Amino acid sequence: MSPTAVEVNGLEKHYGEVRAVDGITFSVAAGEVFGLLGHNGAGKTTTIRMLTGRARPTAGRAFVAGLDAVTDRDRVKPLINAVFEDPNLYDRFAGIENLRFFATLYGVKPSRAEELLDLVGLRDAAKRKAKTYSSGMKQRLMIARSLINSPRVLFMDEPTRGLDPTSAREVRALVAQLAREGTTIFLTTHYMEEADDLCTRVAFLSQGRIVALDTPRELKLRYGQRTAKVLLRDRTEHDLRLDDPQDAAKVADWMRADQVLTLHSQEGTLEDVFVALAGRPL
Amino acid sequence: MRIPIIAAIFRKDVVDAVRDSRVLVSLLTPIVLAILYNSIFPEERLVEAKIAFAGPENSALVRTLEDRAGQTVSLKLRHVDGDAEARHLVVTQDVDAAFVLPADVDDAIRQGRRPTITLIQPAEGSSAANFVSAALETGIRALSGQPPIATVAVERVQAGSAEAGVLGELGARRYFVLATVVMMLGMIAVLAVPIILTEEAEKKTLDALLLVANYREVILGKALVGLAYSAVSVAIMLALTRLQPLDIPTFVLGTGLLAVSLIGLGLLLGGLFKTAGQVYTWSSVLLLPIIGPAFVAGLPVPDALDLALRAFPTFQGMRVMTNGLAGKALFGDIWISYAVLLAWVAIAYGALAWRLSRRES
Repeated sequence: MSPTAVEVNGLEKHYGEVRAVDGITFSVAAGEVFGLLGHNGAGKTTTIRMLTGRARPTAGRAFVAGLDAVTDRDRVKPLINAVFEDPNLYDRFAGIENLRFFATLYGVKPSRAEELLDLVGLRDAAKRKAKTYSSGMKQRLMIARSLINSPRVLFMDEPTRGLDPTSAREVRALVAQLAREGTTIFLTTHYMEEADDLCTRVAFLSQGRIVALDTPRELKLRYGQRTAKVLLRDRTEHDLRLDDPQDAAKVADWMRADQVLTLHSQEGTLEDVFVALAGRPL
Repeated sequence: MRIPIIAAIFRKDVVDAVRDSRVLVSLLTPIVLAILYNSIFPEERLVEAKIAFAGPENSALVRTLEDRAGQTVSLKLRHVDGDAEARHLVVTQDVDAAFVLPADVDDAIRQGRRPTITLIQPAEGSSAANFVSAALETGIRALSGQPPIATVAVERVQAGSAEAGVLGELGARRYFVLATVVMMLGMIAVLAVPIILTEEAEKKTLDALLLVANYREVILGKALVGLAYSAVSVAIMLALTRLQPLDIPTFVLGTGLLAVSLIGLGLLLGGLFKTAGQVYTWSSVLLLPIIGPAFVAGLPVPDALDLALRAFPTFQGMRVMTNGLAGKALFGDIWISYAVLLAWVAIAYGALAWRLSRRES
């Protein structure tokens, strides 16, 4: 079994009367891409803030890379990094200056900045001020920044939010590449397809609580509806529920009568799972 | 506290802040104002004396003349080749007076050979010539080993209140330029420093910073930026306005304590605002009570107002800096000023530490 990269036990964060995170427990194995999904305000960002040492939990404990995220905060920091929901670059600095500043903070070689610009395809824009970058370029620069210290655990908070489809695809490809190279990735996203593509396991967070946690396939099988789309020779299409005995009988009749032109099984989507669990779509 | 991280934040902000037009304005406005005051108010106390002399350039009498001039006479000495040229310069009014020293004047005086020193002045006389005459006489007595026949103690008294005396003693130019130095310290602390702190939070770069640094390191980095800007700006302003503190330790201590206390207040302010725009708007309002007391510290004000103003750091900072600039205690009971400044340092940084501990929890 892989060693644990993140372990969370009964973690809570209260802001006055509001329980932003309400007793969540889960673990993430090293090298895993773990997705935390939920509505705005479900507690995703607060969870990341606690795991990255930027907020102190009200209750419960969290371990990152085997160290207590609160009491060992200063030892955890060099082992992690994060990509944030909103672009948060030094606008008046060039791309390369942004990276070199963080290289200095982390005590790594300045040449690491150039390597990362190559990795994210921004070498040609290295000397341009960050404020002149497009949204996609800013996101890629943030990813480069998050890799400056070669983190063991990388937290990514909505890394493709607001990006055009091409930029989003580039970012997803980068995430997939990092995962292949063994970085543990803790991802929050609104995009169910993104989670389905990238994550080995996902947890659904609703009102600060985890309401489901498993692999995307298992969740879809457990909570999604098993359906099939049938196209008959008369060019009519029918959506049938595989769990419904009457629909199953219909399919059998059409098959015997050689009426069926095509038949496609359709498993549920993570969106369906989320609606089933949270009562409303994302 | 990790020094390399604090140093990296400091270096980043020193470069980044001057690229921000709002910070630049807060640095340049007082400097422009100081230059304005410098040109508006004449230097009342400085008498200019253009003197030519012939003879040995390194004579002890020449040094005596320079020593006597000190801060009260702007002495412009010009060495010429002979008495004819010296006389010509007086005739053409290129100099106010001239004197001619024999080649071995210093030794001659020491040996009692009674050398002749010629003072050349315009027919109608001049204050510069009187000054040279008096200074040479003192120098001759000293060289010949004669003690002064008597000591003249100069006591200046000022009609009116003590505060009017401070302004009168220091001169309007030096007083208002000094007040502008305090204004600049205020603008750096209450405008520039909060802007660089609030902008980190507003643009969420603070989130990225806090992944590696802690709040205390970030705050200390920003405070050092404020101190560096203060030190450089004060030096530039003093150089541009030709203000030379006569008691440098007192001046530096007063300036340093005031800058540290104001920067503490500025960092507190930075934590209260959400955007740099809000800081820019509200700091302009807050600057009035911060800067105002410095300008009235040496002016006559009603007793009740004077008592209230004594609680302000800029009022007390101005008092210490005035004494440092003048090289004497124009303001008495200066320990009260130090105590008030230290109290402000304790209040500002105590509150800051409290806020940081709350934020970290």
